[in-house]
Amino acid sequence: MDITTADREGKIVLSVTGRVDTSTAPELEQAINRQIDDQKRQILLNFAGVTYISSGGLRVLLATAKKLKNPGDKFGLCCLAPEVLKILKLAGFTSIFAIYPSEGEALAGW
Amino acid sequence: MDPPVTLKISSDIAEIPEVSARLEELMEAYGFAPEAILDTQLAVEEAITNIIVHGYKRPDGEIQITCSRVSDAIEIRIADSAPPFDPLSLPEPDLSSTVSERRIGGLGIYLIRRVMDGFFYRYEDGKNILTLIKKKAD
Repeated sequence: MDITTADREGKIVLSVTGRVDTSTAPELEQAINRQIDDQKRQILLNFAGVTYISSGGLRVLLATAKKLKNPGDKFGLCCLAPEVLKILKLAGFTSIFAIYPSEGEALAGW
Repeated sequence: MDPPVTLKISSDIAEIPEVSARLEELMEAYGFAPEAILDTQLAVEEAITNIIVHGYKRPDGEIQITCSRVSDAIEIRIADSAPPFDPLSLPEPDLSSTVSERRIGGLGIYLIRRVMDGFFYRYEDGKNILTLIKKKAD
């Protein structure tokens, strides 16, 4: 798994590639927490390069959603591959996170 | 008929990528579609994680994974010697609750049930044995 970070006028886009599984999820959680610790509370995960997610990854998404729920906070995901979207749907996460087709559409609304 | 393929790993999360890689290789050779392979990798990862975190609770236990091709399906048997635990006895997570109410965790076993075609547990000769089945087509 690789993560690249971009600051778009204070909105943080973390672009993730590879597999978000039990062994790699802690690394994603640390990357997100570094932003939150730095008072960046508008975070978009671009999952265009993510081919696989397991409950280890789902746990990180849920923990992040729980942290970013104050007024003005934003948390969402974009560009999900069909298999990743399927797992999020099975887990009932599509009703608790904002999921966008593209990075542009996500940030335009924030 | 292909002979069963057996992997032995220690009860360590760091072993998971190797198991996933071997499953992919094997299921590609058996002619499974990419989605079925991802589903199976997910189920096996969840089962192993559960054994490591809730079963052994330490990294020096052994987990044996045996994959057999059975007509149009793959059957994966996962055996461990941790204390008896039937994951199928766990209640289903509440998926309707809001972000604040949703519990972190409890999703792994639920996902196995949803992505696999069969999921069985038995305790035999001092071992927990999980059997996962994935068919080539739903």
